[in-house]
Amino acid sequence: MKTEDLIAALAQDTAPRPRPEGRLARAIGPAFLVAGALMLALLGLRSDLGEALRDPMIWGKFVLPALVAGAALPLVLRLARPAAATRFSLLALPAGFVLLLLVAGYVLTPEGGRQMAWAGKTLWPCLVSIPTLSLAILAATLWALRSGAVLRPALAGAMAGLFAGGLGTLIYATHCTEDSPLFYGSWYSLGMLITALIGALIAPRLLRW
Amino acid sequence: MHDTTADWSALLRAANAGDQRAYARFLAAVTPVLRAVISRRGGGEETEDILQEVLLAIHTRRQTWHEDQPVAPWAYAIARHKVVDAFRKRGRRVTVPVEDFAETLPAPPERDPTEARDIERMIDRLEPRAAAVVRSIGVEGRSIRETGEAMEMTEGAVRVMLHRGLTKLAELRERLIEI
Repeated sequence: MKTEDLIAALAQDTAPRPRPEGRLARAIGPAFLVAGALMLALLGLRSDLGEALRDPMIWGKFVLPALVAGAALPLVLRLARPAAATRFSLLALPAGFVLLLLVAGYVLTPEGGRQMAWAGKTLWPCLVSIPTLSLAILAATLWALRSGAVLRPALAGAMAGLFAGGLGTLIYATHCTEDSPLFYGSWYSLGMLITALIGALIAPRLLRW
Repeated sequence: MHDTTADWSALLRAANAGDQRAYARFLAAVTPVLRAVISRRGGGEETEDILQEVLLAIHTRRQTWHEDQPVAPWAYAIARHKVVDAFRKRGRRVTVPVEDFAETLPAPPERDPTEARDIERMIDRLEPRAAAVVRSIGVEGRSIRETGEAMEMTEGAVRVMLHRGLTKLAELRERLIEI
């Protein structure tokens, strides 16, 4: 086939192609529900959730993952577009918030209790649950990215993992009863980073084009 | 050349609004630049094959261009990715510096009468009706309406088949299929 003939054929195909934004908008709701249902089925809400939500010191558990997801989302979408500018400085926002949590936690926790508050009682469940709850959301995000043109798949996968990890952690936080900023500032962050690592490892296979 | 790439944005913007002619002109405008870059990197006899691969990639990913973004860097980024990939498939490692695109003079098609062959083999692997539609419009140069009349299909059905066929062609190449 001659190249000019191919061009003529391509020009006839005017049907719109799916965009990552559109796909993510469609898939994120169902994926979030799946993750929420998984949490309810396997873990359950914390019994004193309503009470806990009234304590501003506990809001950080929700603000942190929301900031992570909020900062990662535009990066994910930008990385789907060749030559689009990406502002990684956005990630300074959640990183700064982690620092704030750790400092506040350190100051507000009496000296003898810091070690215990930091280690908590549910470290392993936390580090396993966060990536697990994030998987459906990660899958939805990577599926959306497949309709893009990702040039740096490991990086895009990592950002997809941060986004998914943020939302997964938001869900996990409605179950988890560890309310010390020393605990969730450290281990929620690590859980989200693990999810980012999973994303970075699997994305290069899924996002090739 | 920078003057011409400024036109590309206008063309692609019109194309995304449904203007087929503008789209054909956009593709025709980027083609000589891409051909020159591929040829300069040693595309040799396979230059047209690789070029068509790049055009298919640009076509199936064109929704990743946003109107607030300049077209040339976007198109070049896709082209670099596909050119490197195309050479890798053929067992060769190349790098394509960005400057290639700015420095290389647009090249006309080589006078060599051999046409790109890879794509014909790819078309053979499509489902029969999609292959027939792609061939009718691409190789034989029929319009959508004429193709519909010849194949006793509605124009809408022809469009769907063409869309699917081209998407599949791009996928076949992406899966590193060597025939």
